[in-house]
Amino acid sequence: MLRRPYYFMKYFCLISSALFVSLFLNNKVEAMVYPSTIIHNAKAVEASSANSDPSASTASFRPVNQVVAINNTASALILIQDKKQPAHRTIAADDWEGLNRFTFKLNDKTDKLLFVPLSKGYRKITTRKMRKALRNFLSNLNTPVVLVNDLLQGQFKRAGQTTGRFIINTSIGLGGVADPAKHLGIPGHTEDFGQTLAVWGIPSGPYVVLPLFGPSTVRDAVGLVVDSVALSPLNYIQTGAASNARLSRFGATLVATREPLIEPLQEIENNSLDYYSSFKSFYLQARRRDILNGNSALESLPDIGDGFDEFDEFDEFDEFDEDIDGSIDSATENSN
Amino acid sequence: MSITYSKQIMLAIMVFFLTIVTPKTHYAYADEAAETFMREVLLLSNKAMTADTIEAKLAGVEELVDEYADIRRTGRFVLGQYARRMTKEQAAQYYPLFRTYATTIYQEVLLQYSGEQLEVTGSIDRSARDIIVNSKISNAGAGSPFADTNFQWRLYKTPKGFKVVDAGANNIWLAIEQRSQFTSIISNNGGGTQGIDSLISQLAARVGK
Repeated sequence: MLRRPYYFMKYFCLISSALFVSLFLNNKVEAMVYPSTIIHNAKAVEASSANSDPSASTASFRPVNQVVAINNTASALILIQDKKQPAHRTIAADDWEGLNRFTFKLNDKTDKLLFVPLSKGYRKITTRKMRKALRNFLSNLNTPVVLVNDLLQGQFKRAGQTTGRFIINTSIGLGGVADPAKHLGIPGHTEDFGQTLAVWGIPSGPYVVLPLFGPSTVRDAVGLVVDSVALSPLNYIQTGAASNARLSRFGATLVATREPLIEPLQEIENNSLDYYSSFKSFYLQARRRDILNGNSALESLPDIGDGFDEFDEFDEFDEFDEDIDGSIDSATENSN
Repeated sequence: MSITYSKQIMLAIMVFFLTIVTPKTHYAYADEAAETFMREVLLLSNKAMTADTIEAKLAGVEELVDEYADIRRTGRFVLGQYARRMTKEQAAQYYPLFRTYATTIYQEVLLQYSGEQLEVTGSIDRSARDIIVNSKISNAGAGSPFADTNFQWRLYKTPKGFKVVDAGANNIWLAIEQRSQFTSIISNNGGGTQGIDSLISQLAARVGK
């Protein structure tokens, strides 16, 4: 009974590391640690072009992207020059909006009739500290999924952090109820197979709202299945106790995740003109952040000052708004 | 057999432990002026929240929004590609409505979290004019789910000094979310000028209530 997971893990790790190495050599693994890898590679490029140092140019892998690092007075700007948009940079299109809106409505009804009352009940019978403890405990249980995905993404430092956190929190943290690792300077993070696929360069596919599970993309839905079926050790134990554990974990995760979001989601719904679009944007923004591991999320933000720079000197925007827009429109027409 | 296994596992664990080297690399540098500006705004908004009546609090927030936020810039951004399609008449209707709408959101959020003190924790320059200031709740209670949340303020340097153009939490931004809504409303209601009219009427209905 206990040997099966070991065998599985052994072969899984073997196959996945082989896969990873091949992808790595094919430059499919995009700058895994943004932006340090890029800067590192950029230096290699600079060094190789400046000194024509053979050791730098014969590195076993070519730089992932053409990179120009500009060190400005107070800001380091990293420009990634790549004609093809990396998969995690593009935002999933909402090709199935009609169906998605329908599913979203159904989910919302279920949420309001079932999950919100459950979460409120859970809040009533627990204190803030108890709820925090449960959140810690559940995230500690999720460690195998995070660890495997850290490794598959080549994030060895983060894999080390995940392992360290698991050992510290499971022992000193009393089975994961407390989070002493955080106080020791090892913050937690999450990973899932959808993110791994994104790092491997697989595009998100269209945005999709899954029944019960909520917003996702085609890629992330595949990732969800892999995570919850293949990467959860508990799934390899087939006893009555294990099924009970799976079920209670599912229920606990549901209320523990939903409970802190009761007010924020209500607020979002109250403030939105289009709740569906709000939710979609929040989800897609969060996904992009998680895929990039927070590192370059700020670089990929759209420019809010866009289109205003030309008339910053003037106080009256109205007068110039139309002129400038008109000229841009006619310019693009001419070029076509 | 089982002993070698556990030895291997122990070895693997130890290797992982060794890889935890944590000199954190900050990839961009702090902007002192922007941080000072944001500190002042946060201080003023805390002060506004100490007013006696709700009306006074709301009025205080409105004053701050007018003074320190560039609502017009944000308002244009959230129209996305449709900003150029807006006629002069529509703009005259839209911008005042958006101002009220955005102010209401700031008011509601600030009222909701009026007990929490935000403290500036750092900043990142996206460019010389586009700066993100990070802040954290400094007096989070035990078990607070937002204790580790990074509240972000996107500042833009205009000729009149810094202005807030967007607010976010853990890299999720309000104006980007609003753009998603607004462009969706416009495109689902015929797009272009017709869609913009529809957006304006929905905004008016929302603000009017």
